[in-house]
Amino acid sequence: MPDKEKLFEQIVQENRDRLYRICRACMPDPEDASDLYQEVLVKVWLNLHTFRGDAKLSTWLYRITLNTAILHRKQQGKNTEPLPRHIAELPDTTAESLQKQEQEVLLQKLHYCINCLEKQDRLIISLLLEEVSYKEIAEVLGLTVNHVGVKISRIKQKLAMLMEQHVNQETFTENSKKL
Amino acid sequence: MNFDDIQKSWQTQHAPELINKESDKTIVSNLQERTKALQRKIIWTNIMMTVVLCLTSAAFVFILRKGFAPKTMWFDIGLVIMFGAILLSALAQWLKSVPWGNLKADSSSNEYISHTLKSLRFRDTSIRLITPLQMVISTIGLNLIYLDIFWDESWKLRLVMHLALIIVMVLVGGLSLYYSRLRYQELYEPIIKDLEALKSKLRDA
Repeated sequence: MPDKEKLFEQIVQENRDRLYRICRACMPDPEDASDLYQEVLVKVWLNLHTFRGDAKLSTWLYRITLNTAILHRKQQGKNTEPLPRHIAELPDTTAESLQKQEQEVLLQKLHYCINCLEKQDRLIISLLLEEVSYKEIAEVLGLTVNHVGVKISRIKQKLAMLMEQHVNQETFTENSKKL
Repeated sequence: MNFDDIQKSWQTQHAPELINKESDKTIVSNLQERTKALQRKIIWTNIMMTVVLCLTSAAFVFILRKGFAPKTMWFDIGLVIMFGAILLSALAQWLKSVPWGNLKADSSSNEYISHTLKSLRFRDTSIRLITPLQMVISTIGLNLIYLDIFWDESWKLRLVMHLALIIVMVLVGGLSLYYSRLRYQELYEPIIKDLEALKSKLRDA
């Protein structure tokens, strides 16, 4: 038992941020993402004995995360969500936090745009953003490497387009308010 | 903004600290329950030890003593030394392993935690010092009893019997201490660790 605990602690220590970000890509709301993240950790703990080292640990973790995310989303029955928080709601306005705010704004946009993607595309982009190799993405999702390559290329284009659209939309809204 | 920049920004996100569903109050109350369960176990062990001690003494004094019909005074001296050591060790266990007068206090009391820690740590002292000492004295007492029992035998047989007794006592004692240590690590140490953490939290507060 202590060995299992140690192994689990080690896995969590090494992969927590990565797993959380994948959860975040699957769940637009930060609280939902935290719930999902905890659910993933519970699943990892419960299924740790099934990991036999046939696949890479990261592949196994991604599979658990993505499967849990799919189930979690189904249970919630949610689709595209609006941007969770608006830039104007950010409380801190001091100069030193400006960069942080910009980062936060970018991430919010990114979350919004990712959430506009198809279900499978969301999973792919969440792994791609974690710098997971095409081969591993293909293994996790049960696709061929070529198929993943083609999909990634399309997703990147779509994401860029969505980001641009989002920026234009915001500029339009701000200009309308001014008028 | 290119994809690499997006990727870099994305990776700045960190997982939140896991929320411990148990509140501090629940943790303290759980610890108190565990401590009380261990104290009950200690009292129960002490009672069993006293019963076994009484029965063994009765068996030695009323059955073995009559059966062997001691020829010298060494038999009685051996009995007194052996049971004296066991009795003193049992008495120390009773007095030191239970936080008398503080059993009903709660875990938010620093005094209670200190007393409980002291009583639980005594087990370690007992395993390291008191029990080995008691075993050595008991072995001396038993050897004196053997001295009387084999008084009329040849010196070779007597030597063999004494050596055999010492070997058996060392083996039994060693095993007993080994398992006591394991039991201590399994039952006592986690609670001591948690109580120490709680004590330091109380001190900080």
